[in-house]
Amino acid sequence: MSVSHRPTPLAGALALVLSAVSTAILAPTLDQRVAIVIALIGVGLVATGGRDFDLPVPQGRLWTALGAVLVLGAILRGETLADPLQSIELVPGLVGMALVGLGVRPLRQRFARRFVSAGLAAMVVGVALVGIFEAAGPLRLLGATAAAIAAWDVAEHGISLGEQLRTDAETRAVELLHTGTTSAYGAVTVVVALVIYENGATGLPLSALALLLAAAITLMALLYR
Amino acid sequence: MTVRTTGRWRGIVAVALFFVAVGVLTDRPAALLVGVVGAGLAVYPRLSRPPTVDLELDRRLGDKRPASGEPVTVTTRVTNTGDRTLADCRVVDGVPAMLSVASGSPRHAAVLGPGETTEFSYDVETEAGRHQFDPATVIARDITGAHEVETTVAAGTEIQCADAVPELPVREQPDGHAGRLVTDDGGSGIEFHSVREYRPGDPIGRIDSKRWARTGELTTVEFREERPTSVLLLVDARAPAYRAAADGRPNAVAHCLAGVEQLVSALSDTRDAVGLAAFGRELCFRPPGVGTDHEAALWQLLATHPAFDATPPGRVRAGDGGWDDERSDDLDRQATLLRKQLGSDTQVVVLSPLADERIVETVRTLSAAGHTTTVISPDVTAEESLGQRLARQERTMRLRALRGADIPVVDWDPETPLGTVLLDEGRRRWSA
Repeated sequence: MSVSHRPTPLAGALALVLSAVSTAILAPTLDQRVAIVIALIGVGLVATGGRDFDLPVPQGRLWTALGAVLVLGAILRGETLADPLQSIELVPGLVGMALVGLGVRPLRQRFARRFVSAGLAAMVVGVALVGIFEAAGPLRLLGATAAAIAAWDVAEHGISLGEQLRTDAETRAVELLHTGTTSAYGAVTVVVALVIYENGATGLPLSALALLLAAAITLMALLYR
Repeated sequence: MTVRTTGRWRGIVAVALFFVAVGVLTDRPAALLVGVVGAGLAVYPRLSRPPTVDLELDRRLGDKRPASGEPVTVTTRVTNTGDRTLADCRVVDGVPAMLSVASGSPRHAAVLGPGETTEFSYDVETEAGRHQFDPATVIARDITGAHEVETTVAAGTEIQCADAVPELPVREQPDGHAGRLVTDDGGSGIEFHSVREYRPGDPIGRIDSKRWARTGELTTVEFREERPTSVLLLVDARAPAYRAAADGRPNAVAHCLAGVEQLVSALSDTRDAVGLAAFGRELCFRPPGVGTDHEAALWQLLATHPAFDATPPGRVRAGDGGWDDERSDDLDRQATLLRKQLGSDTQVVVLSPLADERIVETVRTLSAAGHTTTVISPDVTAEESLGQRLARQERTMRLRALRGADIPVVDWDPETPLGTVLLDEGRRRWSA
């Protein structure tokens, strides 16, 4: 029996789905969604490579290679979309998905967390770019960010479970509860932020709001140390 | 119990700050608003507190006294006796170091509401001997994963498998009392030794009455005296001794402990006095003695004393005080302390993988101090890499050095039961 300290499969799958959701919120057109689904399938194939499953799951080098081709194809498709704005919406998210996938596979046990963090960073950059270039509405940006952070959290949780308990342990209930709670909290945060935004804060000059927020976050960062 | 902050949410503060900066610099209110969500998620771990862990553990064995090599199903039930829900409770059962898990996993994670119980089971391959379960390690995280409580829950469970050591061959020794060691000295016993002139105080039963009747001369019959020995089993459990042949295989200390357990069982069937000692995290010493109370105390010591821990030091383990690296004078200090407490007529059986030079010196010092010393050395060296071959060669040299100093060494390949090895050695070398 081989010893496997890989991230737990359920948390890995949920993290991939959440990162796909984050990307899909930013990229609304059909072409983009198709690319996301293809990338998700590809990342899924890459992430399952070399694992032991009870169910018949396609794996082996050929499948992993096919997955990698699918991911690269999806990213290439995203690059060559007619509208460059659509590429900006799509590509960072796809790269983020790929990085999260490499983190939960993982490519290297030691760097699993770094890959997942890099995936979060890519998705966050995507959200920021959309915010800058499209002046997009708040709902898309907030939803995508919350989903990206939830994906990162779930993936990290799966990595820690894999490290401490290995993949053959029964951990599903804990993973589902953790994912559910984080997602629910993220959704609540988004709703609260939107409610604040709609009712009142819009009248405030941006600079004042920014100062207030910056002060609050600085205070928080100081408290964290 | 250790409470840790995992700090896993710390990076989210950076995300929040990033969006605020983007929002301000590019004049986009929506991006600024994302900073609010980032801040909200950064505050998330502050909303929960470290969980309070009150757990009870119950372990059931499919078969309490299995035959050697037979898999045994272990069912572990963990109950939350506290009044708070444990959202992320991870349990790693303390499988005895010598037993390997055949199927299933001794690790489990569950969501435990107050009073709820979770159950998991796995099969272990049994080996000859008596194996005690270590306390299970429990890691409980709060729902956000920001705090982590690590603790252990104990339930005394043991698997007992037919013991394989018939008897410990003891070496000849200069003096002592009646027991199983047949000596060349005259005294009371069974086997005829000599006849000598009567001295006042000799027991009446030993007067040679026939000769007295014949010649009127008082003589005393001497028999070969039989003496019990007093044996101290000394385990080398210092950090260098926690070597294993490969990852996932039992380490040398685990083998030594299994050996000690077998020897204690075997010796307690004889009239020999048995004592227990260990070098390691701290010096453990229990002087040799006899009787059921003493035996119970030995088992207690084997189960609970920190020196008899089959887990290598330095690994994270609850209740394991900061014992990092062995100080260089630690072994000398422990050996000196041991020699001071040790009776001079006590034989010492050292169980050590002979992983470094210093234990060799210590054994030779013990032997030079007049203790009849024997070494049983489990061989955990391997042959795959150059370093492993070098380590094996070094160990062979150490064996040779000890044998050169007239200290018998039993080279024990842990694949073979200790009893077989000792019987072979006894046939070959021991005269007792």
